[in-house]
Amino acid sequence: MNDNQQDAALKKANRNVALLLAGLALASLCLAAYGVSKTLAA
Amino acid sequence: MSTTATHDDHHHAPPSGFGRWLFSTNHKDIGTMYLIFSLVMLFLGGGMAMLIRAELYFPGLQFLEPDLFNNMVTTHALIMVFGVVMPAAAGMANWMIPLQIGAPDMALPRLNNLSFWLLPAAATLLILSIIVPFFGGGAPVNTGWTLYPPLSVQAGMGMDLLIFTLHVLGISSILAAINIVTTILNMRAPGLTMMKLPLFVWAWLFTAILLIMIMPALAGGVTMLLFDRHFGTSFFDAAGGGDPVLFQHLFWFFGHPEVYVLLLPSIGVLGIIVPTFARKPLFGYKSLVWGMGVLLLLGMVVWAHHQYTIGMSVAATNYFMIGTILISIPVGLMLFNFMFTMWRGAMTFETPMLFAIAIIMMFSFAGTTGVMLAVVPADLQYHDTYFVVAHFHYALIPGALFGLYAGVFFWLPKWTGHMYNETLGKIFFWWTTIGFNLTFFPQHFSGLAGMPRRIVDYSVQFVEFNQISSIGAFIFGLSHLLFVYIIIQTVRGGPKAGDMPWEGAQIGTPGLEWTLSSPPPFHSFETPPTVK
Amino acid sequence: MLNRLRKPCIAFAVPSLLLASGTAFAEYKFNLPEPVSPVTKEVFDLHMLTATVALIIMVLVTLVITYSIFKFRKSKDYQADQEFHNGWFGTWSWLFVPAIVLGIDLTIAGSASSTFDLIEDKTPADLTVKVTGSQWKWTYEYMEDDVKIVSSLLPKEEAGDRYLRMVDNPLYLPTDRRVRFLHTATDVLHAWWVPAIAVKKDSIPGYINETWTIIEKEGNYHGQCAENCGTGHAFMPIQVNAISGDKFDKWMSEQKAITLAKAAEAASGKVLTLDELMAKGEELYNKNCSACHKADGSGLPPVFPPLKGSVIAIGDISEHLDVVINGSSGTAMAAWGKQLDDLELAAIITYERNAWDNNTGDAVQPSDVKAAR
Repeated sequence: MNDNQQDAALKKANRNVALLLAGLALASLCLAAYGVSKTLAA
Repeated sequence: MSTTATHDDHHHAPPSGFGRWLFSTNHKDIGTMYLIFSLVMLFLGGGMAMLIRAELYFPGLQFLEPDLFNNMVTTHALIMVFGVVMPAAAGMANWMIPLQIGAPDMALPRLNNLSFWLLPAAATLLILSIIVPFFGGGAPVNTGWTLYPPLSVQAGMGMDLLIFTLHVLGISSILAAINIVTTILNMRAPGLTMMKLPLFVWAWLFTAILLIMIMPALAGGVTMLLFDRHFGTSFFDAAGGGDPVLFQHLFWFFGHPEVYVLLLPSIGVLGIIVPTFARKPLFGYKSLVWGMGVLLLLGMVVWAHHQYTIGMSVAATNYFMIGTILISIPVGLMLFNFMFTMWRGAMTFETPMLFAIAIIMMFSFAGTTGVMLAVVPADLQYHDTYFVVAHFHYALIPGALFGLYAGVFFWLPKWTGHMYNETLGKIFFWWTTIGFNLTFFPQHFSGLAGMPRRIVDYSVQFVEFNQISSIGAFIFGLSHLLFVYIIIQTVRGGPKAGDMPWEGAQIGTPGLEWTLSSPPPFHSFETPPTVK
Repeated sequence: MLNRLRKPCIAFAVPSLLLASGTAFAEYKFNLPEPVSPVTKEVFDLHMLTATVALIIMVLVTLVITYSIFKFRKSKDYQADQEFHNGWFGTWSWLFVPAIVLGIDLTIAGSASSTFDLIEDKTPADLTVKVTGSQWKWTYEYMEDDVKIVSSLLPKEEAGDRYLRMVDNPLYLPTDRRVRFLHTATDVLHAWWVPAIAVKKDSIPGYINETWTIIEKEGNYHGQCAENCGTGHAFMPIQVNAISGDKFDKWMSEQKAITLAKAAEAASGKVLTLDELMAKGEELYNKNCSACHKADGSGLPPVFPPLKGSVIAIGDISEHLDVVINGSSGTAMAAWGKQLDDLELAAIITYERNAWDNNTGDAVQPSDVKAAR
């Protein structure tokens, strides 16, 4: 089975959640970068 | 042949040949591949452990040069963490989460295919990192899995390959985690509310969220390491205005929650197995769910307890100590709940249950040594000794690996449609548990007596403990041949398993996976089941 | 091949013999070593407290599980209590279990916090020793007296069954005086750890960490580097010889005299003969360089290149000086300029250029080293 067999509403909901989680990963990366810049500036 | 027939054929029979696996978007096929991959890696990582223990059987240098020895230590850890426990848990998630929530498949099936097939690529890079030093690739990676600079800057090309390995593994885990969270949130059967989910599903929800939050820190850290090595930056070089300790913070910001990434899926498996064989609903379902949530939050903010010796400020050290000790609250609550799930139950002791009981006891022990290690002044003696090695093997082998073994025995009938050989299963349990304890229990003592980790040669005062440990390790290692034999035997045949091979499997849980045939049809739930 | 097999056989025989004779058994321990300083004493008590708590918890867990296994089994026809989790116990256990655990936690944390304050106590010390970790030896500098000791592994032939415990030049410390240690490193991370007298602290390049001790009993105390520092990590033991204050003062005045004599020799600008440099160089090479480049100059390729016939050792002198003094970035080669004086470097470089058929005939003088710095 692949996602072509999912109905349109579910497909959209899945995409949104996945993008949200990818955003969470990016936010975490930004947090790490912020920590690094703080440490090295001190 | 009519169009309808071809259409049906496409839907119901798995495609044959190599393409079935390479292009698979089927959650059960991908789950199977994850599980087989991790079994293969278990033997690779285990083989390295055997080499390490063989070298340490005697003082002096026998089989391995110092750098090669610590290279084995490094890759053993990375393989066991990223190649065995995480893929095996992901394989179980792939297999069981859609079945347990009544979904036809994972939410993002093609992403699922990608996240699996990144793993063999990562494994190839990892193996290359071991091999290149033999062909002029500079010094082997001798840092241990923590890859601390400046030592990791000294290593040769193998280090670069390891950094790329971690990048690929990181992408694979994040993609798998995104898929799992999306599946759990969006694909549940009608009526299956969050608080009715089996504990395994909850455990994986937390694990996946944790993975998404921590993996980027590791990826960033090793990328900075790569830049320090080749592009003239000095993030971690004090001489260039950098900070060698910074890498430790980045690594452990990932590394400590990673421990819970390894543990939680197995806690979830226990939450299904213990009630099944006690024939009584899970004790404290809600507090287990909340406990895992608290564990996730606390686990994210206590990373520096791996670095008490770096000379942090008194305030920071006290904060990390108290935070770490508080982790005993959710963990203690979980173990308490499992013990009182057994209390006043009607227990039988099939292999999965034997593992579950052993896990509760041995993991409690790891928890108590964990509190000992959390206490800063005492940790300044334990730090980087075999006491730590013993502690985390007690946490991760019962807490993660045995939980997965229990899951394999518990779900093998569902996956294959055959019952495994119970006698052999029990022999495997006793063999492996005794071997494990014989290996790691004496290491507490060698650690207290002063033996540091990651040393290829030791003074004669540590001989006895190391010899017991090595003998135990070989017993432990060999037991896994039986494990593979049992699995192959079950896959090939054996007594037919019913749809619900375990009597207590549906007590106190919707147990949707048991409403399907064993093995389940190629497409799990064509029409969603309804949960009342 | 035969040699590869023989090594394990000998290795097997040696510990077995030791076991039989009981010499190794004398140090057979189950617990942390006997503490001899106020800090390690408190740490030891704390360790015993947490270990006792751990033991009690494990006994309770074992009792509950064992009782359950024997009592609540289907084979004894025990009927499962399906409503157990809905009773008062099931309803409130989420509250009282964390409360009990929190109580235990706070007891431990309180006791730990006061011990930690003692460890971090910054009372002025009578004596400061700067401890520098380098691959793979320890350098001790008595800051007040300007005396430096380089301490490395005592070879197996000399150490016997105390191999990997003994060093060539131990750190001498007086008893009953407050000693402050400053920890740093020149290349990678190390950690100075002598369980009986002081807890461990990482030696980090670019950082200076501080610990302290008051040794209350004379004796020789052993420890090891406790942070992976590469190839020789297993081979950098620590030995502290604690002696009484009087003996220590006497020892210190001797060391000062030696240091002054050495400084005078190096400053005299005397031109040394090739033989003098070679004799001195061989000794220093075997102490400082042979761990990696081997006593016969064959090295441990690919990490540690051979010096016998190497382009640098038989080529241009200035390049040779540069590599030894400043190290080679991106490799394991340390910058020795910081660790050795002109005379020592001159002797080592001369030795490297003339030993093992390198026969360049060059006699590098301390003045050459000084010019190259």
